[in-house]
Amino acid sequence: MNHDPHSDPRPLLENAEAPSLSDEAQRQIGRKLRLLYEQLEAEPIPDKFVDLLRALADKESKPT
Amino acid sequence: MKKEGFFSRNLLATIPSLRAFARSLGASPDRADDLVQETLIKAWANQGSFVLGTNLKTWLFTILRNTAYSHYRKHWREVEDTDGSYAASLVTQPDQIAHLDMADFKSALDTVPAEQREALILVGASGFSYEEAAQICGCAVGTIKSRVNRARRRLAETLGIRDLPTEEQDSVPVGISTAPTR
Repeated sequence: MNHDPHSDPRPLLENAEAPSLSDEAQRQIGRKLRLLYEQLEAEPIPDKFVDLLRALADKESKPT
Repeated sequence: MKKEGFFSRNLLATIPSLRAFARSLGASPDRADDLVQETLIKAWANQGSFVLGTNLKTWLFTILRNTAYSHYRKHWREVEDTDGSYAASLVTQPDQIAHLDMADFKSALDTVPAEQREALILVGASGFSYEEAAQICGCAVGTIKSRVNRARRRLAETLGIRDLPTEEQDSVPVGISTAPTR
């Protein structure tokens, strides 16, 4: 099978063999994606998770 | 060697990434935290099955993903934030232009089909290799590569990022080793 993507009637999105984006386009997208993710990652860990882990550890170390 | 100490410390250290993963896939803050909590409890209960020396983060992401899928059946779409609290929570960015930019990016990301978005985030933001992402999603490496590729294309198209077919790339064949064999 050998088809030219430019003559492929299917839209590129649906085309599994679509070529990669240019390096610059990939960089732009990558930068924004990481920024978004880093903003979320920067949020402090809620106390409830610290408490949960402590409770799990306590429960385990207690002899039953 | 005390495994519990190692285990708790590392679970704790992974929480910000787990939350970011759930949130960036579209879960509301509350739902994301529910998912993380369940992930931590499951991880703790199954710590015997975690092999020291293997990647704990990959293991935890796998648990979170499976938890989300089993809860919300099939797709992340159903975990998504429909009341816009995510967009509201982004109002922490002081620079207005950058903020608008991020809001646009987030909207564009929402239009990317869930499986593609998930692959893109794992590889492009969470710091996993294609192999690790494939392990987390339970699919082939080639599938992850294809999903990431499509997600980027969709984003570029939605955001109007010009994808100039660069001279240096023009004639280079794409390095996908798993071309469909139909």
